[in-house]
Amino acid sequence: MTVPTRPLILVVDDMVETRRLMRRVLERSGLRVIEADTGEAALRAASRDRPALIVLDLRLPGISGFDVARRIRANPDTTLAATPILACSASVQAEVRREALDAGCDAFEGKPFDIATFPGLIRGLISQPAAG
Amino acid sequence: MADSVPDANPDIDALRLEVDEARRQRDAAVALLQRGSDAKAAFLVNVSHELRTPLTAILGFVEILASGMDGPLNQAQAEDIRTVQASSRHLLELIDDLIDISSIESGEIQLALGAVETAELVRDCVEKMRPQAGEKGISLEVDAVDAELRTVADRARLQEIVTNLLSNALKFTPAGGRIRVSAMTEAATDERPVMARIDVRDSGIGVPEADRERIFETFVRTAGPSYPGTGLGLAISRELARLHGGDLTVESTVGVGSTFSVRLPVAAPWPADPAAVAAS
Repeated sequence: MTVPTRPLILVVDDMVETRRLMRRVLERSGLRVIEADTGEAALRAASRDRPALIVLDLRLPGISGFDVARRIRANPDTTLAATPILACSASVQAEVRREALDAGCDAFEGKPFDIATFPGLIRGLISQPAAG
Repeated sequence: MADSVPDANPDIDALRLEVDEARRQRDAAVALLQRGSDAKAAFLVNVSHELRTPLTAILGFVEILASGMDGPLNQAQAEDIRTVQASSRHLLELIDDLIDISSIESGEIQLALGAVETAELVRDCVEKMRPQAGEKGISLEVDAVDAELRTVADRARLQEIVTNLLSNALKFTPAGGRIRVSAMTEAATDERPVMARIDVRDSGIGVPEADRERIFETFVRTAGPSYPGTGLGLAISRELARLHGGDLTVESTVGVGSTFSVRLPVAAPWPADPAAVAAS
């Protein structure tokens, strides 16, 4: 398996400031970024643009981040269903973290996140073999 | 049997009605309290989320500026940015501490208790604080641990207590000072059973006798505003230790240093391997 030199990251967050921050940090480290501000837009973008990873806010208007993760994991297209998902939420309680992992997210990062380690975290998740 | 006996005593009937009514009122009151408590818990979760969200952008972009990613900063700008950074981190710490103390005081907090290998936990906490100690020129070492020591604790909360105590010691110990940490079993006394005891000893400014209980109250900062902190760390740590069935106490000599001691219940030793027992 070859990892593209500039993997595409789908950033899902309803806050424009957070999306802008993630774009700055990820592009700076050589990743490409597309954005979605709702769960619905996230699902459309995921199936259209096939990102290498999805950074997923959990509290979203409309379809929640938990549901976005569940729907992606349940997708009949196995490649899409195996897309790595990093949940990133300002709700940092243990229950939220557990629910995100139960919904199919591969990892959880609380907000505020450390911009110095964030790209490395994402690259680590991309390079991992897809969970079975 | 009782049903078959006709109950002709009107006083008893009246009493029964009163008891039923009292029960109904009690159940309604309990339900109301529960709703109030649930609402408070949900409110705290929302406040934390809503405050952390803008702080994500503030801390993130400040870090971008500080890193020089957008171009070099002159010395005054770099200092300004460091101040914004420190204040934003302080705000984040305050949010976390407020949520903690509120959930403790409202009884919302639930401990996930298990047997925690305490020497390892203490070493991990010390390692995480080592860079901060280094920056301040303070020697921070674990000087005595019982490798077998296991406490009945919520791992994350115990980490929080130890980290709070280390952070407290770092704040009040001047450059060149020392902090020593130990985790040992303490023999039973007349007042208490065998306990695990974690000590954080510093060579800091010390706490005058009059303040030795006050420092565990919320928002009390006896050392004055020139020292950083939220005034909540020790209050949270003591409450957490007490929720575990333990306690947090201090012994101190002004100008010499302080020792904060956390006592926690000990977990049973490693269970014997049943197979080995059966085979012998």
